[in-house]
Amino acid sequence: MSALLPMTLPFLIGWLGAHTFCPKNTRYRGLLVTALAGPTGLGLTSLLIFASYLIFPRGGYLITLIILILTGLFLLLQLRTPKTTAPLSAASNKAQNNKSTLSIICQIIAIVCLTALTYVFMRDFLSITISEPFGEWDARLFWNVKAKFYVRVPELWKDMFSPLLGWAHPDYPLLIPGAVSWGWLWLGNEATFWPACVALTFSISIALLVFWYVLCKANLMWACISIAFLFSLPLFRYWSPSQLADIPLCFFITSAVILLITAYETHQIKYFCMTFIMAGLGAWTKNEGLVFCLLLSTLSLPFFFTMLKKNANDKSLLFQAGLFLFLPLAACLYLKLFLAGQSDYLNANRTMTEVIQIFTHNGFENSRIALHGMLTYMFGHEWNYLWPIFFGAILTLIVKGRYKTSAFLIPSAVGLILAAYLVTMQLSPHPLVWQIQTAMVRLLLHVTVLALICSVEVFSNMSFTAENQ
Amino acid sequence: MMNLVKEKKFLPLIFFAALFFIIFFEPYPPAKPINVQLLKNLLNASDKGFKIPGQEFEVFKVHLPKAGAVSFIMDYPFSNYGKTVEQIYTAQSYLAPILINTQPVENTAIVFCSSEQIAERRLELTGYEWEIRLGQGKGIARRSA
Repeated sequence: MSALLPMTLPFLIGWLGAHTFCPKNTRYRGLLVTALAGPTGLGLTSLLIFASYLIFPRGGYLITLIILILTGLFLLLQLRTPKTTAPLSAASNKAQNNKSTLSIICQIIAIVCLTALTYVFMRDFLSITISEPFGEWDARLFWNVKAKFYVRVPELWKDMFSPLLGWAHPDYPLLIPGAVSWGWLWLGNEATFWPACVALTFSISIALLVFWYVLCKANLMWACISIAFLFSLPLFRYWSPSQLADIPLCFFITSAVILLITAYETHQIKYFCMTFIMAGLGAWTKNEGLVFCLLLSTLSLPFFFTMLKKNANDKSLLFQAGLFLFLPLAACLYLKLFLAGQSDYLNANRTMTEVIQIFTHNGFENSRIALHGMLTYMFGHEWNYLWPIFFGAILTLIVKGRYKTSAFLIPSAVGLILAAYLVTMQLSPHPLVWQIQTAMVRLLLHVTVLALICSVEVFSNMSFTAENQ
Repeated sequence: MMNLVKEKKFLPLIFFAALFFIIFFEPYPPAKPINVQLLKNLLNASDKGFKIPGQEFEVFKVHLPKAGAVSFIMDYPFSNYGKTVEQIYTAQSYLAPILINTQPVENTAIVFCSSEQIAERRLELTGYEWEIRLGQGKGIARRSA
């Protein structure tokens, strides 16, 4: 089991960090902290590796290790035991107390489904990993290649930004290469299983996160059936072991939005800090994460300042939140401006007139093609009707007229993210149809979990009961 | 059931049933059998039993510089969406931190053609000459003066 050992330190750091930030009255706090631990730890480790290599490449690993240990010790000293617990939403108590015969039967069915689907998910994950241990195309020939530059000759790590590797997008953020290189540096070899282990951490963390959220909002039955449904999605089971950055980005997008909703509902500014940490790490994962950061900031800033007025004593948290958002963004910016010097989008050198022409050409033809492509993929059988269900959920929200900020946050986030992707696709120098064919499914995957949570929230009557209290 | 009817909670019940049926009727194709020994090897951070992508480029490694850029010559000139892309990227992955230039402009080039005849023709067209021949259209070439 030595291939799993490099996970211990990032997980511990992530766990302690999440434990420190997570408000003490959070329901099922341990579950939330555990769900956030792995990805947060790996993300912070990746950022540290990048910073250490910038300062002293030869000792980059050692510096990272020392800082991680010191951070761990510091966080360990901060450890406190929570004393009180409060419900996440008013709906939860009512839902928890609903113990009719039918609900018990449903609960048993849900638990059986979850057990069976967890088996199916793990079976598929291991089977795919053993038959293709080096991951999908992009993982094998792009993300993990960058990790090799970190590991093989640390002094030459900046060669990963060479324009000769233009196909590997030299300006892309480095969360995955950093996380992969961490394990390889720890183990002293390019262990094949480590990238798969990183991938598994993100997938399991997504499941735990959804479990926590639905458990807090509804009950065990809905939590179990939600995870079972997620594991039943062929695309989730296929892309989880692919070792690409899409499942990690899905985690950061989902966690950021979930924590933002929790911040609105509980009025605790600490959740905002965690939202920004997750959004920042999302930006350090993929370029799409940068777009998400921008959208999330737009969605949350007005509420953030409103809450800041209410919590005058917590103003230092504004600084902390800003710092956690700033660090990954600064790393991205430094990478793009000073290390890569080449970007698919910036190097397209288009004038504003050309950009406008791209959108308006032939009666918005490109937009129609992109939208048609997206809808075609959404209604594919691989999604198990998730998107029609999601659209139904939005329609239900509108028809019922139960307008509540947090209830509309997920549909707004999903809508804005997908709209941004449609726009970006058209601005890309790559052929539009080729992009739709190769990337659309993975782009939809980023917001899949949000769509699932929203659907469960609406159709399990959670939002309505919450509002009726 | 009566409680749910009284509380007019049909929607959650229908939704739960729908999710259950979707999960239940989703075809789960049998996965490839898991080789326990290979799994153990993976968990023990060993690559035993696995073919590392790009292993075929090992023979070139000893003849190449430790760092810097080399060109890569194949049967056809490089094209972003062509068939040669995967081969070149695999070579890059295996040979990193050596940088592979897809254009025939570097002093040293890896020749990775499918036959001696094609290799000779490609070297002539790109302005290279053999430095080390490894057989079957493979070898290291140097830019002609």
